[in-house]
Amino acid sequence: MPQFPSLILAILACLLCMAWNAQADSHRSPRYGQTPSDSRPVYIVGIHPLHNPAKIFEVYSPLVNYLNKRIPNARFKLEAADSFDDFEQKLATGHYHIAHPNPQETVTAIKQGYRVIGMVKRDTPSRGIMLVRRDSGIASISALKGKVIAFPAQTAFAAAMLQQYHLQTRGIDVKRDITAKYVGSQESAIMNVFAGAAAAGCTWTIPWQEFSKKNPEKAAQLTVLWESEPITINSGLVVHKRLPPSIAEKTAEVILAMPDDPEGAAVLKATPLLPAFTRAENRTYLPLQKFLQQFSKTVRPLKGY
Amino acid sequence: MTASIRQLFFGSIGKQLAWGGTLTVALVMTVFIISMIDREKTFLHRQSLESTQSLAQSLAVNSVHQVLTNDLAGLKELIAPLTKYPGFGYAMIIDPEGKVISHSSPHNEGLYLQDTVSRSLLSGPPAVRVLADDDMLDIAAPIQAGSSVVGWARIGIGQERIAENIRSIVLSGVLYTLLAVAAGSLVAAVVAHRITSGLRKVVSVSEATASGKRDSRASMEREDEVGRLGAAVDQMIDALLLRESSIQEKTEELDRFFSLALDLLCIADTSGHFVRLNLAWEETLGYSPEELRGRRFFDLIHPDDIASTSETVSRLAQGEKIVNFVNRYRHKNGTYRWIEWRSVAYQKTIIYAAARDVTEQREYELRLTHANRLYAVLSEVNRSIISATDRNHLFADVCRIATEKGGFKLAWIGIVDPESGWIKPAAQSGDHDGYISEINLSACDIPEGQGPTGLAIRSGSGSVCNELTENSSMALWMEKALKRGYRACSAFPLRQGGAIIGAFILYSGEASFFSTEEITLLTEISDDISCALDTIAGKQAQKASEQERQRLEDQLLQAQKLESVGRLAGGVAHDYNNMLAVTLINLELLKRQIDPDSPQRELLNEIEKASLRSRDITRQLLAFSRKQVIEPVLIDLNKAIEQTLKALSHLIGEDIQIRFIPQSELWTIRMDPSQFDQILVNLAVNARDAMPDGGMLTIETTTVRLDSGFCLKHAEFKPGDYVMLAVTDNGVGMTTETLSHIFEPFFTTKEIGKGTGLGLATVFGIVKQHEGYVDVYSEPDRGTMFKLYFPRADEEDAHARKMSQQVRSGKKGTILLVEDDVLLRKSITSMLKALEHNVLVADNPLSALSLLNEYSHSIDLLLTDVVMPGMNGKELQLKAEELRPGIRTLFMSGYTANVIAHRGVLDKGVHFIQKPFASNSLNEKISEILID
Repeated sequence: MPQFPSLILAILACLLCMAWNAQADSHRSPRYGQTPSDSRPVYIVGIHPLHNPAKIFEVYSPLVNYLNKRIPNARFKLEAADSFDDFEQKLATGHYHIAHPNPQETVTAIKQGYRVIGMVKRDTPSRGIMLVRRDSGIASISALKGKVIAFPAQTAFAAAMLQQYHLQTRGIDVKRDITAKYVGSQESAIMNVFAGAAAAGCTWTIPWQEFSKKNPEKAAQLTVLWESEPITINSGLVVHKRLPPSIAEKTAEVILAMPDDPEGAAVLKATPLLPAFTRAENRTYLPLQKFLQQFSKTVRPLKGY
Repeated sequence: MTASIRQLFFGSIGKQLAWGGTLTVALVMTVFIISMIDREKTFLHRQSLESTQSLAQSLAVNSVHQVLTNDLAGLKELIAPLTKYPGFGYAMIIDPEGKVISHSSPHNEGLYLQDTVSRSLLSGPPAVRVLADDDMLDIAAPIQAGSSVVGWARIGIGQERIAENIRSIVLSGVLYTLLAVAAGSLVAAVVAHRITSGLRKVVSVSEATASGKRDSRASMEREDEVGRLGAAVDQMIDALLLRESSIQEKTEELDRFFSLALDLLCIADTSGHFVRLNLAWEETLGYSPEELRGRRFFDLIHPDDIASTSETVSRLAQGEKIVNFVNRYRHKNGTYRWIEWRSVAYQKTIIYAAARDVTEQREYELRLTHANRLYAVLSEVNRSIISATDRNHLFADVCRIATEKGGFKLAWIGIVDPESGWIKPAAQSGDHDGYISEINLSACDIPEGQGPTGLAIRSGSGSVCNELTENSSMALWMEKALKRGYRACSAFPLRQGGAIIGAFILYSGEASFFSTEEITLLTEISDDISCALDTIAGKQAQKASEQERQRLEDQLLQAQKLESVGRLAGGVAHDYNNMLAVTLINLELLKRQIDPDSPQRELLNEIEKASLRSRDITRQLLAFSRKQVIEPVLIDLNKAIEQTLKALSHLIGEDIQIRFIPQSELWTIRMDPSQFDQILVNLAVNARDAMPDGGMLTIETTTVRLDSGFCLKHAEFKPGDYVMLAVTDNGVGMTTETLSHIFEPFFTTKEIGKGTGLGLATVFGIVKQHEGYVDVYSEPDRGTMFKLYFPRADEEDAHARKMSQQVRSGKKGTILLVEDDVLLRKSITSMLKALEHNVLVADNPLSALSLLNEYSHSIDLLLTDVVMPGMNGKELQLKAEELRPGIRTLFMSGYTANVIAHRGVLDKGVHFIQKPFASNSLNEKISEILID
């Protein structure tokens, strides 16, 4: 009995606490600051939009992770481009510290403050390939006159420029005799032919092989009308001049040595689309530069040539 | 204050019922409201959580492309619609390093998340995460490209709406609770009044009964529980009154038993205080029960028993029964009584105890124990006494027995130094830790002699100190004794030959240890030890006497042996000397007749050398046998030694150092100087041979007075003044066996050919002939000391020292030669004639007397042998002097046989020549006599 007052007091206190407690909780808002948790400098790695951004990340994240592991005093951040234009614009502004542009973008990048440190190494040289449907009746280049031809992009070297130059030199004026349709990607160019939206579609060896592997029935309905001579100049690996030289050298050393490093080799093996690189310099791309100048003169003017 | 509040609110059943009802209602309502709030809160929260998670996931999925391409504008477009969501707090896109790529508040873009929750998000697994779940629901969802996390979409939605709803419910609940409490209280108050009116009646009856009104009853006419309670109370009061009467009778009986019991009874508490005691305590301790009640019983307990009593009280407090525990309580008169206890504790706090005074029994047991121990000591000591042959051994045994069997902490025996009176320990046993060496005790009447030991020795009876702390005579040693745990001590005199020589001293660790019985027994033990000391002394004296007698017998035997050997050697030497004399005289005559360049002369020289060597050996034999005639003169031994020292140093070589320690004012002695030289040379040679690797030869002189005590221990010595010559070497020494033979002729330890064995025999003979003594002490590997004692010369002899040495001239005359040996007679005759003397020859004394009678001319000299058949030389001399008064006599002999010399020493006025002799010696001697 004597505990009664204490109990009543406790009950009242409990009720009041509940009322108070209903508004007492105080959330701690996120705290922001200037200082990153990791003080190492961040270098952005840009990849030519050969695939969609997700695919780019899937293919090239292992390479960036490998760099981060091998060069612990820097952080490399992979950034995809929304489109060819987006990529080239960022190249032009020096947004990327390290970039993997296609061959003609590499030539352009050299003028924009980048330096070539490597080039894609291929065991079998790639070629530009022009596809037509088997049932199209097109058996020669000249039969394409007046037709729609699908290209991935104006700047696609093997899949557009090399082939347009070939058409031009075979008497087909690219600007007048055909309708060039730029469809945005390799796969799209192939699919345009398959769907009949274009009489011919231009691509190059790797996308064609990949398509054939994934869609053998569709590929079986297509045939190669023409393929270029083997291309010895491939996509480059460039570094911007604002990247510290020591990091640039280390980056070149690590990426070029990947096939010889067990861990690097394992990364390459686990990611078939990830290319290995061989050493290259700015002058490696001089022949291509001359071709582009020629192309600009004979086929269509290129910006900067 | 609390009590009055309690009385105010709960002072009656009515109040308690009112409060009980109120509390019940309040509790039920509270539980109901809490439950409702909880359910509502859970529901609203889950709803909010699900919607926020959906928002975050949607934002994450939609922003993948923009994040991969760093499309900031696209991200802003995605975030903008979210700001309209009710309760929206924030939305943001962050990269894997925590950098805000896009934010609902643009000023946060480009910054980094710094808080712990955000950091944990970045390091966590790629899954939807609830970062906060309070007033702001904070949820993040991973932005993934394939398996890679490329960023996080994070949304914060405020929970104010939920809190608002909850507050509303709580306020309503409090209102309903208060209403329910008011209603419940009212109903409870009415019910309580109905119940408590009957109870108050029962209470008033109970209070009246308790205050002594035995006739008060409830007598209620209700049928309910309260009515039955009133009836039960009435019955209970009747029963209580009946039982109270019975209990009072029993209590009075127990009180009488407690008070009148002969045993000691008491009630105490475990904190150590008497609570109640019976009258028997007053008889035992002298205190009345009233004096003891409330008093700490530890104050009365003997200090030595406090620890055990505390431990016993602890055991009681733990519920243990205590039987036969014994301790000591102080009586009012200051003495202590032994109390034996039987105790038990009630509820571990109250001790009920019955006790008995067992003082007399304890004291009897203690005395019995002590007596038994002392009887054991007595028995053991007597056993040791029977077998004791040595005093120190006995003392050690007695002390050991006293500590081992008698239970003494320390037992020791002190012997009084007769000169200083200090008491020195002779034996000890027990635990003393240097105590004996720290204390100084005296038998004299000085402060150090005031303890039991000094008193016992001076008084001749046992002395006891039964409490060291209370005895001022122990003040000097009390601190040291107490430090070692001694509490009582005693001392008992020890006698030998009736005189007190020391004390038997005992220390006990118990105060009042020495009772009358014990003192009697210890006195008896001390007397037994004293008797044993006399017995041991007697035995030792008898043994020493027997040893002394044996020694003297050995000395005598040795002396007799040497004497007999001497006689034998002397007899042989005499005859041998005669033969040598013939040989030498004839050799000399022969040499005169032969050309000095003749080869035969060389042969004769060799024969002469051998003969002279033989003569020396014979003289040594004579010296040993003390048959050699000597001519002692007064000499100063120091001068004689100094004159010989140089020759000695050549003799013993450079490896041995000679040290001479003369005593000044040395007495003169009578000695033949040539014989002294022989002594010194023989001893030096002997020392040299004993020190082959070199060493120290010490020659010392001193005067000594030999008393009768000394002579008793040395059988041959006679009391008197002596000059002692000590010759000491630190060489190889000798064994006892060798020592017993060294003076025997021809005894040698040297290699064959290196010693004649006559050296020390000669020394012995010479010393003895000069009435001296020889004492030798030697130890193997330590060295040897020869002590030669020569008697001091008479004063009148000193005048003789100035005897002049006149140059002898070759005076010629008529000489009567008397010699019984025919060969020798002829040889001497030839020699005398060669010396141009007129020679009359007689072959025996009678013939000589005839010649003395018949020869008409004067006869200047009688040259006679000493030992002859029929008449000796001395007798012949006397008769010759009768016939021819003034005739001179020259005796010649191999030895004298005391005829002309006393113990070999010539009487005054007697002339003598030792056989064999050379012609010049004879000529010189004859000239000397004829001139006189």
